[in-house]
Amino acid sequence: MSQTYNIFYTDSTKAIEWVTNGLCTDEMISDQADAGLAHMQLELDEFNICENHYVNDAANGVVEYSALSPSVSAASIAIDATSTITNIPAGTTIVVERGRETISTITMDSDESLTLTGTMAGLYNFTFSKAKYYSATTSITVQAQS
Amino acid sequence: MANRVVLGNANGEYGLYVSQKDDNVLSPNKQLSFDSRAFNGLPVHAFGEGTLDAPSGGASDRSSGALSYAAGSLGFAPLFAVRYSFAGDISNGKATKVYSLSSMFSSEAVNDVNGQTEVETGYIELKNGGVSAVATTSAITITNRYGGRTVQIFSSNTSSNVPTVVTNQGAQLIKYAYIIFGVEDFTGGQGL
Repeated sequence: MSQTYNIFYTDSTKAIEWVTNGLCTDEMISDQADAGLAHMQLELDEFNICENHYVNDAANGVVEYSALSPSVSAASIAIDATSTITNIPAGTTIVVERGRETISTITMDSDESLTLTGTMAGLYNFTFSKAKYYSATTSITVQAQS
Repeated sequence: MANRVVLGNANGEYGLYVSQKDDNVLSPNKQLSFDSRAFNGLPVHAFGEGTLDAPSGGASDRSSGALSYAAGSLGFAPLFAVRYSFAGDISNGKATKVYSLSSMFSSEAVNDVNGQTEVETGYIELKNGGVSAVATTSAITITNRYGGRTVQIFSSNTSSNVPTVVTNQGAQLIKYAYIIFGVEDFTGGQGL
């Protein structure tokens, strides 16, 4: 059974900030506008749809996030060898961790690819995040010298 | 006129019984208007559900607007109940786990000074979690306090041995549901 949901979102990014099927007075909607949040109403079968979604440009519906699909040329490399991660949209934030230690945070430029050289053995985890996309992870192992 | 009120023994049990109009309280054909054996529930005045995104931009929390009760002001702060779930707790549109209101906040300020080299770094680490709610005479406001971990450096004269700056690490979205009861709050604002 569909219900009317009030959706409050940031107009510049279309990011959904909060949702309710409770009663929203004009005064409250005005207060939210003063706090920088735009408002729209949607008839929805379930409110889960607002998770991992953003408001469309026409502000009359919601759109599901796209998938980030980074591609790794080599998941395991030797010391001093390279691996390239491609298919990363510009503006993607990439957090590089070695074990539990964050060693770098990168913002992808227009090259949309990242070439890495293994200088220290270990398992390196990469987390990719970008607005309007599902987050993605991948890893590269740099083998110890035998 | 039918007998409608009994204070005493009716059909072997002592109590207070009131039947509906024209219905004999000693042999009622309809549900009793009042039966002291029954456990009375709380009248529901309003209810709703929704989503509050994870706090972001270094904020420790994110609040809903003031969600009004359908019938306007009650004239008293009502009893309420709020439960919430995380996104991963929802399966096929239903919550498999729910949590009651509680919140925590910690703030640790660290000033790390090396007396020999005079290298100095000052930073603050904030951790926030939980959900809170405030119900007034006419509206309830729910706050997602799962702001996660934020590390801010407030002074440093070195580029080495400086903690990693993080913003809202581990912050979480919540899905909430609330019920407003038509009776005055007796929990000191904590809700059920």
